[in-house]
Amino acid sequence: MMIEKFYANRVVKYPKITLFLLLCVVVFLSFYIPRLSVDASAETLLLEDDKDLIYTREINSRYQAPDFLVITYTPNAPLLSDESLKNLRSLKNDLESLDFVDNVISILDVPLFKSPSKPLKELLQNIPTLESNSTDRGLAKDEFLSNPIYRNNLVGKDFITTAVVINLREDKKFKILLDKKNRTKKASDIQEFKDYREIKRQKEHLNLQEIRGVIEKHSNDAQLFLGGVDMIADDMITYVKSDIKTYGTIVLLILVLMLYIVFKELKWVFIPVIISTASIMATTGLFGLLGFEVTVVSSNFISLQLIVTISIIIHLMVRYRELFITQNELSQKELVLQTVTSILKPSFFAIITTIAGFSSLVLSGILPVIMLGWMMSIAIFVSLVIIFLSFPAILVLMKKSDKKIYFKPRFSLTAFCSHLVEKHTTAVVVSSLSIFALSMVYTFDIRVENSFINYFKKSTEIYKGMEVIDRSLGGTTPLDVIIDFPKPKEESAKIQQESGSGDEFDEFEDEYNAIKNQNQYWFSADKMDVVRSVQNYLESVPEIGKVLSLGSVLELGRSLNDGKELDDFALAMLYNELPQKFRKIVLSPYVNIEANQVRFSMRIVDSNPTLQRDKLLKKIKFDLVHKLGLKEENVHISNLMVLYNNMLQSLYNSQIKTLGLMLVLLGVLFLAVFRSWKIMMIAMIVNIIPISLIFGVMGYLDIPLDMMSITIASIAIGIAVDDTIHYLHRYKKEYYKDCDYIEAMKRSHQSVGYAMYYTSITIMIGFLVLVLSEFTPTIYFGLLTVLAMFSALMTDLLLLPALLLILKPYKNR
Amino acid sequence: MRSFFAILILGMFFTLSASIEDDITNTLVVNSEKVTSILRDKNMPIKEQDVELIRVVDPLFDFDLMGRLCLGKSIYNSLSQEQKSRFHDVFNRRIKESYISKLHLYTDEKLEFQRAERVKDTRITVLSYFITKTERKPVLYKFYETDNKKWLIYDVDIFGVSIVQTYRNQFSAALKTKTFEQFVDELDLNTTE
Repeated sequence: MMIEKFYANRVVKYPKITLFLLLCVVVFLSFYIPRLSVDASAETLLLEDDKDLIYTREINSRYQAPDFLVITYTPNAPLLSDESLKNLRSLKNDLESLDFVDNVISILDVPLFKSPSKPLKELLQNIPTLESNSTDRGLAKDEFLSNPIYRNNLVGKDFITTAVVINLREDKKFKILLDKKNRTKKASDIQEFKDYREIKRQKEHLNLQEIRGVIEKHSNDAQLFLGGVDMIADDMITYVKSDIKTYGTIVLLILVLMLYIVFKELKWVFIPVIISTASIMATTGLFGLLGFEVTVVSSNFISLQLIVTISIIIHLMVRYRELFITQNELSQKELVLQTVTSILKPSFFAIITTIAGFSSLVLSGILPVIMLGWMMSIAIFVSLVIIFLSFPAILVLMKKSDKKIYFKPRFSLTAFCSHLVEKHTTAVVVSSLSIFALSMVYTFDIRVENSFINYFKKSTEIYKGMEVIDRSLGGTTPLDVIIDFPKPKEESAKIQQESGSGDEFDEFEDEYNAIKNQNQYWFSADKMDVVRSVQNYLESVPEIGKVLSLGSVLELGRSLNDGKELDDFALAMLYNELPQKFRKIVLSPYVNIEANQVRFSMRIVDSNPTLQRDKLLKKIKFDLVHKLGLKEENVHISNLMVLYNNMLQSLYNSQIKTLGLMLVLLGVLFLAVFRSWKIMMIAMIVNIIPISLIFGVMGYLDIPLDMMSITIASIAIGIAVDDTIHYLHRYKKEYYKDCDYIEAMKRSHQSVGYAMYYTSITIMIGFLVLVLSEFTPTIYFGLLTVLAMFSALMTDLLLLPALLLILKPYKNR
Repeated sequence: MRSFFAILILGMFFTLSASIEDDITNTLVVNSEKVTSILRDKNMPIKEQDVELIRVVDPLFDFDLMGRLCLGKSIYNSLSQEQKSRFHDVFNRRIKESYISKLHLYTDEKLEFQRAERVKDTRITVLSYFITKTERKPVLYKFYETDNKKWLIYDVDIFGVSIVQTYRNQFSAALKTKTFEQFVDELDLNTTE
C-alpha cells in the first residue's frame, strides 16, 4: 500500500520532477565514467594472497629479467644470405632508434665461438659475432643449431625463422610505486599507482604501435610477428575493449530491431533503450566513483545488467499492454500505476534473489571474483531503482495509445509449451531430469585450462605469432624451476665439529675456511651435477619447450672445452673473468650466489593440444623430488604459468563452493518469498537444470573453464531466477482466479510467458552476434549466454508448470 | 757499544729476511723464464715439453702438502697410511698435469713479478701480473717455510681463484656421495685420461 501511495503521490504525480532528479543523478555519475579503468594486467588476474605470487615477485626482482618483446623473423631469402642479414640489420637499427628500447638482440650480435674454432684464450680476447670478418657462415649455421642457448630459442630448428629480442628500458618508477602500494596499502599510494599505471599502459600501447609500424615497414622482406607474454596482456585488453565497443553497439542495434519487430511501436523501443543506457551509464559512473576496476572477469557486468534491465522492462511493457487491452477503460495514470505495482513485487524479489546469488561470490576469496559479485549486485540494484522510477514517469508523460495492438504471433511458442505440458506432463519432467542427469555426467569432464593461444582465433596476428614462437622458438608461457642448495653455514658447522682439536693443519684450515665462501668457489662439482641432472630432466619433458639455465652454460662450456666438463677451477675462473656484459646474459639470469640457488627458465609450448597444465606442474615437482632426490623444500616452481594455474584452480574450487552457497541462499529466499516448501523445491529444481546444462555442454564441447567462462554460471542463475519468480508470481494470481492448475498455466503462459519469451528471444538474437568476435572467450560467452537464456526459458515454460501440475502446491480456497 | 751491536744484529736480520724474499722472487723469475723458453720452443714435442716443465716446476712446490690441504684436515686425518700414500700418488700426478695444462694456454704473455711479501713468520706471497695486450691479471704464489727451512709453494691464486680451494670444494663434494676408494679411483681415471 505504501508503495502504491508513493507512486500515486510522487512518481506518477510529478513525473517531470522525478525524471529531472533522476537525470541529475545519472549525469552526475556519468562524470565519473572516465575514472573507471579496465585492468587486464597480470597483476589483477592473480590471487592476492597467493604465496606463489609473492615468491614469483621475489624471484623476478632477484634475477632481474627485463621486460622484453619478441619479433619472429622469417625472411624470404635464406636466413644467413647477404640480403636477409642486411634486412635484419636494418630492422635492428630501426628498433634500436626507438627511445623505449634498451637494446635488441638478434643472430647478428650474439657471440660465436666455433665459427671457426679458435683457442679459448683468443676467443676471450675478442669474441666474434656474425658481423665479424673472420666468421664462416656455414660454420655459424652449425653453431646456431648446436649451441644449447641459441638452438630452438634464437633460431628455429628448421633454420628458417629467427627471433629478434627487444629489451625494453626498465620503468623504475612503476616498480617503486608498485612496491609502495603493496607495502603500505594506503589509499593515496594506491591511487598514485593506478594513475601512473594508466599513463604507463597508454605509453606501452603507443610503443607497441610504433613497433608494429617498424614491422610493417619491413614486411616486404620477411614474415614478421610480434609475440611475447606482454603482448598477450595488451592484446587481451584491446580485444575486450574493442569487443565491448563493437559488439556492444551491434547487440544494442539488434535489441532495437528485435524490440521493434516484437512490439511494433517506436516508444517500446525508445523506452527500454533509454532506460538501459541510463542504468549502464549510472552504474559505470558509480564504479568509477567508488574506485572499482573492471577486470577480464568482471568485464561482463554490462552484458548481465543489460539482460536483467531489458528483462524487467519487457515484463513491465508486456504487463502494461495486457492491462491496456483488458482494461482499456482505465486512464493512462491508472494503467501505469497498476502495471508498476503488479510487477514491482516479483521484480524486487527476483532482483533480491539474484543479488543474494551474486553476493555469495564475495565469499570466494579471489579478488576479481569478489569484485564481480559486488559489481553485479550493485549493477542490478541500480537498474531496479532507475527502471521503477523512470518507466512509470516516462510512460505517464506519454499519451495513451489509440490503437490496440494484439501481439499474438502466428506460431505461439508459449501456447505450444502449455499444450505440451498439459498433454505430456510426465514426459516433460522425465526428459528434463534426463537432461539434468546427462549434463551432470559431462560436467565432470570440464577442464580447467589457462591456454593463452586458444583465446585468439587462428586468423589473428597474435595467434600466428605465438604459434611460430611455440613451433620454432621454444614455447611461449614462462615457467621457472628454482632449486635452493643447502645452506653453507650448516656444512661448515658440520666440518668444524668433525675436525677435532688443533695440530699443524689448523693454520692452513683457517686460511681456507676464511675464503671458501667467496663467490667464485660457489660453483662446486656437486652443485653442477644437480644443475645438469635437473636440466636433463626438464629437457626430457615433452611439454617443455626451451630450458635455459646454468646447465645450458655448462653444456656450452663443455663443447668449448673439447667435450670435457668444466671443472670447479674453470668455473671459478669463468665467474671471475667473464666480462660484465656477458655475465649479465650467461650467469645472472640463472645463478644467485647470495641466495645459494639456481633458476631454470623454461617456456611451455602453449599450442600443444594435449597440454594439461596443472598435471604438468605437479609432475615436474614430483619428479624433481622423487626421481632426482631433491628435498621438497628446496624445489620451487614459479612464474606466470604457476600463477595463472593457481588462479584458475581456485576459481574452479570457488565456483563449486560459491555455487553451493548460492543454491542454499536461493532456497532460503525462495522459501521466504513463496512461503511453501513445495514451491521452494520446485523453484530450486527449475533453476538447477539450466546451470547443470551449461556445465554439461561445456564438458561435452570441451570448453575449458577459464576466467571468462567462469561467470556464465552466475549469469545463468540471474536469468533463470528472474523468469521463475515472475512466472510463479503470476501463476499464483491466475490459479486463485478459478483454482484450475491447467487454466492457470494457460493464462500465465499467455501473459507473463510472452514477456519471458520476448525477453529471451530479443537477448538471444542480440548475443548471438558475439560469435563473430575474434576473441574466443567472447564467442563462448555469447554462445553460453544464449544457451542459458534458452534453457531458462524452456525450464520455466515447460518443467516449472509441469511440476506445478504434478505437485499441486497451492491450497484450494 | 751494545746499541751498535743491537743495530748491527737488527740490520743483519733485515738484510737476511730481505734476501729470503729476494731469493724467492728471483727463483720465480728464473723458473718462469725457463718455463717460457720451453713453451716457446716450437721444435720440442708437447710430451717432451711436459717432462721439461715438470722438472722445472717440481722442486718449487710441496705437492704433498697441497694434497693434504685439498682433502681437508678431518678427512685426511681419518685415512690409513696406505690410503694416504695412494692418494698422494694419484693427486700429485693430477695436480702436475693440471698445472702444466694451464701453462700451455699461455705462451705469448709476459709475467711481471712484484717483490715478495712476508704475510706471517712462515708465509710469503709473491704477487705477479700476467700481462696481455689489454689487461694485467694477478697471479699470487703462496709459499710456506718447511720444517727444514725450505720455502715451497703450497697454493697459487690464478686470477683470484685458489687452486687448493677449488680442489677442496670438489673433493669434499665428491666424498659426500662416494667412498674414499671410489673417489681416488675416479681421480686416477680423470688423470690418466
